[in-house]
Amino acid sequence: MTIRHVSVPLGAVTETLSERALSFVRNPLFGGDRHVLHGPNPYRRMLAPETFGEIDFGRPLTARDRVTYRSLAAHRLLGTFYESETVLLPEQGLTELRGDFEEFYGTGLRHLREATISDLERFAFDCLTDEVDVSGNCTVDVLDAYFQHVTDESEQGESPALNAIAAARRPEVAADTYLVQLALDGLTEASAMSRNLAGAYGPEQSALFKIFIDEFGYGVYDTKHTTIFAKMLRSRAMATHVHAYWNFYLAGPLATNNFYYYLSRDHAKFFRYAGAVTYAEAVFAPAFVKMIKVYREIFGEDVDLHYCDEHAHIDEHHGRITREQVLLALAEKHGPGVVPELMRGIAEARLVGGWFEEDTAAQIRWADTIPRHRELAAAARTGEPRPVRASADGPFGTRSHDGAVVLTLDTGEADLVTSATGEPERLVRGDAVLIPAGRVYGVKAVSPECRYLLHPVVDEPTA
Amino acid sequence: MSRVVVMDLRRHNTVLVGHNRYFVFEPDGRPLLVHDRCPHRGGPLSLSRQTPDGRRLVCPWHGTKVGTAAVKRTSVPMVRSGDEAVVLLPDVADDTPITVIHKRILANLPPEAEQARTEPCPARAAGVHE
Repeated sequence: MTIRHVSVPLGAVTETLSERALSFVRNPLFGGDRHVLHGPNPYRRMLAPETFGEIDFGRPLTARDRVTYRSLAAHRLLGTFYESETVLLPEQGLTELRGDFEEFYGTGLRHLREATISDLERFAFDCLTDEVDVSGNCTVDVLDAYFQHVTDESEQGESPALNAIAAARRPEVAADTYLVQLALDGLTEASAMSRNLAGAYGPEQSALFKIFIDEFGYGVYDTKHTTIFAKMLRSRAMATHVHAYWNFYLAGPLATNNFYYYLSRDHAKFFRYAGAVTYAEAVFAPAFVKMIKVYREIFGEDVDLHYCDEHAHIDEHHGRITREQVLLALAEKHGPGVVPELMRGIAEARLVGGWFEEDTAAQIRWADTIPRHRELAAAARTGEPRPVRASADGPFGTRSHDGAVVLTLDTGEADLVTSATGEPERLVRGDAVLIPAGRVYGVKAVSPECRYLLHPVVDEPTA
Repeated sequence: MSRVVVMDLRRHNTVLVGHNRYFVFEPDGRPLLVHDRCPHRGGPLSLSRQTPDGRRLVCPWHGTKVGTAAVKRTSVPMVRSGDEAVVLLPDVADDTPITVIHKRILANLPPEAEQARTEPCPARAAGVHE
């Protein structure tokens, strides 16, 4: 037998997280194109390589950073890493995209990804260790009491994002923004869950599998949850391919989606995953009931809510199955040592679910009130500006800023894009808009070229 | 079934459950809700001070030294998420009154004697020679 030695370039292990991340995002797959929405090519997604130099990867994210640009960029990258470990094939067939397929799953990017992913996970999710503590003598009864408390609270509580939709000046656009955030998971649903199906862990494994086969429509493609999610998007005349709306995914929803991959990639975190998925399944049913109400009020019968109806129904069963046959069964069988981990998973899922809601609500409110943010721009005190150039043929990308900025168009004409389906805000020379911290936007040059200035806000007026 | 109490840790640090009292103890910077009762004669450990090595609490009543590890073992189930704590009190009857309050906790202060003994006086620390 011959042993082949494979030499690993030393640089691959000694480079910093920042350098490895930059090497990855500089791949041509991730440089974007001039279109606002991504085409039907799951391998290409805008990771804005030109902005990575400004991101400090040496300082892990904290909970306060959840809507910073560091968080948005890191979670875009982490989500790409996770999806590189799933099978993505374009609906129209691979013929034209064979090269992209080979590059996306190829050795070069895979080595970079494998050398980076654990550090990037620590960067993105170590904050959960600071944010959540479980202490005291936690028994199965305590676990169940906690679970009942947080799920009751969710059922009786408000959804900030749905409230923002209901209150919006343009509720249709706001409702679409919410669908965009759901699309992140909705178009690849249960991919993270699939990682915990393998192995041998008894009846609890079979219970989880029951949920999984519901997600996958019992092998019937037309009833698969991703299929009926796409049907909902189609009824709103929205694109249904992975990931048409990449540029509009927000940091909070990206973090939420990545969280389930994060827990399921490392089986040492299995009990946390079990807690998290139990919480998610339990709160989905009432959340979709609320969503149906808001969407029917806005669209009447002009939207296909089969996906929401399905979840409002089946997640009642999933909530019961996960609680009784996964959560409590694991606790009973494996003893008090795993109960804190199960509780931690519940608490973390509740926390990151809040990030999804708050971030989506804030984006909806901002995108709905751009005229007001023009006025606020005029009243804001700002610091030294930074110029940015854009061309009509150049790559389009979106971003946010860690602090509020005033964007002033200096030359040319451009569209300020703040939502996937709403009319963009046309800007001409001298126009200014206040962009609050964390709000995602893109600038699309309408004239062949334009230049805009980003002024950091020193003293933000009250919205 | 456990009784559930939700506490904002920015505003509250003590839970009164019938005749029992629990306080937020942060021996390692992470909050635990522990029994406010010295095992000797029931003195208020929340008003105790840490020994210079930080490993024990000195009860204000009789000077009994109680190991922080033992105090930690009295902690009741609690899940903290940010500044919110969900306290789960097993075996507490539904009619038992529960109150959440704020009071001064001395047990979380750094050891007083240790500070006084080891910290250089400001003049010397600044490099000023007499």
